Amino acid sequence: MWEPLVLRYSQLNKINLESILSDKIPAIVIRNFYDERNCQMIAGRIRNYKQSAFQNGKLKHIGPFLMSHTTNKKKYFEDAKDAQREFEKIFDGIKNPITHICESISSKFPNHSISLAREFKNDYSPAVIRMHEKGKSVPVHKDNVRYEGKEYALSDIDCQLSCILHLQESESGGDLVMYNKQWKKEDEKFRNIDFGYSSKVVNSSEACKMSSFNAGDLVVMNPNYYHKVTEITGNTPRFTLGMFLGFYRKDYKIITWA
Amino acid sequence: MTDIIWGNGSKVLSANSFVLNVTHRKDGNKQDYSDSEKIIMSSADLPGLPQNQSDWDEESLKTCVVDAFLKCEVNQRDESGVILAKVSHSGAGGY
Repeated sequence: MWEPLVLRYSQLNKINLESILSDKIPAIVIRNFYDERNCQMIAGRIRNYKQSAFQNGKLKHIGPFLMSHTTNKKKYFEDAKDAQREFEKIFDGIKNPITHICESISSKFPNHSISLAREFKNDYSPAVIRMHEKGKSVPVHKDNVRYEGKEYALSDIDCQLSCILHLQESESGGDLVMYNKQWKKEDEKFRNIDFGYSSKVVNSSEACKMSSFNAGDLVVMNPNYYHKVTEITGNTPRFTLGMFLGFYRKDYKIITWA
Repeated sequence: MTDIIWGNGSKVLSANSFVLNVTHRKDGNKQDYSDSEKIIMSSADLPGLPQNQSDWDEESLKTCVVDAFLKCEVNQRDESGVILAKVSHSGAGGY
């Protein structure tokens, strides 16, 4: 069975994480990874976040993500700088969840350095906070900076993991579905015009559905496997914080970005 | 309004032209487009392809367009049927 490993942080070790990189398991769900009260505080601040930052409601995220700036590095790095300031405000006075993720991963890879990715003195965006409201779903997609981030220096990483911290859950929907199929370039013929892929790309692929997330749960996954988020059907929006880890194996180095 | 077609790049013909396997057509396009069209790039916005046209070559174009999902905004079709188009990456395959 291809299914996620569900554990508490105290049970997490390097072997678990390597199991994702070596394709033995699709994901690890770490229960109660981040303090639930902090999640509630952050969610409250997100709800009160100035609407202009969401471009009059058209965008539902705080912080840029590299894949939406594949050929516009200047804009990405400008937005990344702004995002750092916004995150400082949102996490003011509480344990920064981005730092918490980095420290936790670092403790499992003690011989690796970990740092926010930088390029020509520009910091990459450390994370992206996404708001998914009722009716929103995320189609089948993959995340692979080695392919789509060719303009960026970090596209030479050896492998990529994705970390998604759940800050607020909806009453229903918003499940993560992962398919036991990794992206390959020939699959580009299944691309949708705007985002992601036709569901035909995962026809007959084994799937696992992850639901019942709680605020504070962290999901670590190999994002080159196709995945999707099912429609949010509850009234409460789903808030997540996402970031990537990139591994340079020979250099024992981990970089982070969004 | 400009006609737009989308699809995957296949054979590279020169430093600025290739064959597009058309998968999507904009509703309301004025012209018809077959499932395979020859494209000459008037300009490009593709990850990995130099901005300066004089720096384009067949090898770099192969790396950037073969199998890649591309958006072609049609400028014109010449008498031989070849399309002159602005070529860019389309949307994103992920976050």
